[in-house]
Amino acid sequence: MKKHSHRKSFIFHNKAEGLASIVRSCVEYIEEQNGFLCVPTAIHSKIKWAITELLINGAKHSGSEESELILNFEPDKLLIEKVDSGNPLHLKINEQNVDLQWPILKSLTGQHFEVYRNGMDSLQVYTENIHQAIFRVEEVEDEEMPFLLVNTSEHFGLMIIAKASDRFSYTYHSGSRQNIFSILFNYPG
Amino acid sequence: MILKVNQIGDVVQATILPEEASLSNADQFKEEMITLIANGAKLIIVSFENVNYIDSSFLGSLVVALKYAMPRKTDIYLVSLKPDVKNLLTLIRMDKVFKIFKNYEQAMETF
Repeated sequence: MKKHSHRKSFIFHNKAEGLASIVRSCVEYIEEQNGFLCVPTAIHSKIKWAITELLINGAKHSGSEESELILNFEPDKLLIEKVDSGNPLHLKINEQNVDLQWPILKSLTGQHFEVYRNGMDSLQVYTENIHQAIFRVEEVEDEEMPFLLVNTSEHFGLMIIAKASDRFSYTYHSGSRQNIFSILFNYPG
Repeated sequence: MILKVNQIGDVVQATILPEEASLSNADQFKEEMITLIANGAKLIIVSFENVNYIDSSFLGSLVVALKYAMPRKTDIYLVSLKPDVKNLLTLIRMDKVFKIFKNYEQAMETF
C-alpha cells in the first residue's frame, strides 16, 4: 500500500479532565486511518504512552490555557509535537545542585545532566544549545532497585517517553515564547 | 471509591474499579491504599483486572503506597495485569520492586 505524509492536530486545554478523551481521539484516529498511515501496530501502545505523558506534563506544568498536539505522519516515522506558550521547561538537578531553566545559560550548554535514576536506568538531559534539550536513557549497572523507591516518581513520565520513543527533545523558541516537545518514532519504510 | 475491598484476616484483596488508572484518580487511589495500610493490613493484593490503561501519575501513587507500606511491614502484590499495563511497569522497571502474580489465588498461596 502506498504511504503518505499526513498531519493531524488536536487542541488540549491542559486540564486533567480532558486528557483521556484527547488520548483516545489520537489513538482512534491512528487505528481508524491506519490503512494509509501504516503505523506499525507493535508501537501503538508506545505512542499512546508518549502522548499521555506529554499531556500530563502539560496539565501539571504548562501554565498556559491550551496546547496544540500535532501528529506528523511520514512513510517511515511519526513525529509528535506538543506546542504551548506556557512556562518554559524547568528541571532541578539535585545531584549537581543545578537549576536548568530554558533558555539556559550558555555555560550550561553541551552537557549531560542526570534528571532521574531508578537503579537500572539513568534519565539524562543533554543541553544541545541554550534553546534545546535532548532526553536520553542510559542503562546503569550494579545498583539496587530500591533506588526507585528513594528517587521517586516525579520524572516517571519523562522516563516513559524517553524509553518508549526513538528520540525525545524539547525546544524553547525565545521569539515566539513557545515550548515544543518533540517525540520521534522511527519505523521501517 | 477506586478500590473494591475484600478483607480476609490480615490480607486485603483490593480490586481497582476504573478501566483507566490515571491522573484523574491517582490521588484517590493513593489515599485509599494508605488507609488500608494504616488500618493494619499485612498484605494488600491489588488487582488490575479491570484496568486497560495506566499512566505515570497512577504508577507514582503505587510507589508512594509502597514507600508508606515498607516501614510498616506491609507487602503490596500486584495481580491480573493486562499486557499493556505490565509492559509499562516493566518499561520503567517497577516489576523489580513489586511482586507480580497471575491472580489472587496465586498471590495468596505465596503469603
